Amino acid sequence: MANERLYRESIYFALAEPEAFADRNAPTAAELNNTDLVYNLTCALWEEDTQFTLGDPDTDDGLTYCSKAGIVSPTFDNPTVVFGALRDADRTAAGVFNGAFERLAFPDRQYIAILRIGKDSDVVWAAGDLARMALVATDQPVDTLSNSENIRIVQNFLPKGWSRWNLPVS
Amino acid sequence: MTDVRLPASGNIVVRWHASNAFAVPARPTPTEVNAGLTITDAISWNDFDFGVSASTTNNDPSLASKSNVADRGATQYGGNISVYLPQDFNDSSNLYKVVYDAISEPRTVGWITIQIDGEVSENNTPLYTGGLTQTAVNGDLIHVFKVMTGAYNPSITGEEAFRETISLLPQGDVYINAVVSTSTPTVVVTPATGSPAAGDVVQLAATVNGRAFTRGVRWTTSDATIATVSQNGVVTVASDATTSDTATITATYLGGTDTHILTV
Repeated sequence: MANERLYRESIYFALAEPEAFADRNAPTAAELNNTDLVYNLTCALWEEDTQFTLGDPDTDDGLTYCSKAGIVSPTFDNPTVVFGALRDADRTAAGVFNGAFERLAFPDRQYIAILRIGKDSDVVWAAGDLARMALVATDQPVDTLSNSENIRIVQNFLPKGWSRWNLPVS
Repeated sequence: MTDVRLPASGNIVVRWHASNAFAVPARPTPTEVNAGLTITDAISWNDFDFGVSASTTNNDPSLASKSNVADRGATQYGGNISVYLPQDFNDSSNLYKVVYDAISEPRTVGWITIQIDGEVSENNTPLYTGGLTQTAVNGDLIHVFKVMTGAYNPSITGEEAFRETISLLPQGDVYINAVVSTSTPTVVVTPATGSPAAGDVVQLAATVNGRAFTRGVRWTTSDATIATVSQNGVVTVASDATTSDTATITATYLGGTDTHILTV
C-alpha cells in the first residue's frame, strides 16, 4: 500500500446553509451529513469551470531594523470558489443538475462552500475527514453557451470573510 | 429521467423586443414575450458572446474579517450577436431581412430576451413534461436585457455566409432568471405550517408559478425574537422560544406572497 496515489472520483463539493453548523469552526460529521442543509452537487459540476483554491494571501512585507532577511506576513486569506454546473434537459426533474441550478441561479445568497479531497462524493462524512470550507455569496449567474458543448451555469462566488482549510471533522 | 445534459445547440431561444415591449420587465407576460421577434435562427454561433458576466466587485472587509470580503457591484452584461444577412434585402418573407430591419439602425434601443430553460421542442410539443417550447408560457424562466445597438462589423469576405456582427450595449436594466407571469406571480411555500421545537433549524421551499424558486424569493419573518429566516429559506427557531409562540414566515416575489405559519 505504500506510495499509492490518489486519482479521480475522490472529490466532494457541497453548498451548506450557514445555519447548518452550530460552530462552523468545528463541524461535525452529523452536521455535514444533514442533507436538508448540506447539498452535495459534485456530480453536477463541470471540471473545467470549477475552482476551489486558496490563493496567495494579502501580505505585509515590511521589515524591522533587526530583520536579517525578508519577512512576509500573511494578512487576508483569499479563497476562490467557482462552481460551473450542467443544466438539465428536463427542467422539472428532481436531480442534482436542477438542484445545483436552483442554488446557483440567484445573486446575493450566502452559503458555506465545502470541498473534501480523498473520498468518493457519495461517501458520508466521518470523524477525521478534512474539510475545506469558505463562506461565500453568489454573484449573478453566468451562462456558458458554446456550439458543440453542453450548457452550464457558472457561479463566481464572492468571498465573505471566513475560510478554513483542511479543518478536521469531529 | 434526471440529470440529462443539455446541449447548447438548439436549446436557446432569443427574441428582440421594442423598447416599450414590457409593462413590468422583471416579470414579462407570455403575451409580451411572444410578441417579440424570435431571432434565434438568424444568429450565428460565430462571434456570439452576448449575456451576463461576472459582476464588478468591491473588496471591503470589516475589522473582524480574517479572510477577504468582496461585495457585488453593478451587474455586467452585453456582448455581440452576429446575424446572417438576407440574400434579398426586399424579401420580407426572409427572417434575416426582418431581423436586419429590426436592429440595423445604430443606437436602436430595445430588449433582448434569452430563454435557457431545458430542452426546446421544435414543434411546441415538449420533450419532457412541462418543458420549454418555442412559445413562452406562464412559469418559463427568462433573461431580460435592455440594450442599445452599438458597433456594426460586417463579415463579407471568404466563403462563409455574410453576416453582420452587432454589439449590444447594456442600458442599465437586466433581469436574470425572471419568471414569465401572466399576472401577479403565484408564490407557494411548503410546508404551509410547522411545529418545530426551540432551537430547531428548518428548510422551507418556495415555488413561483410552479417553478422551484426557494432562493429567488424574498423571505421575511413576523417576529425575529421567535424565528429568523435566511434569504435561502432556512428558519432558525430561537433557543428561548416557548411553547405556543407563533411567527409567520413570508415569501415574496414581485407582488406575489405566501406564508408559513410556525408554532413552537
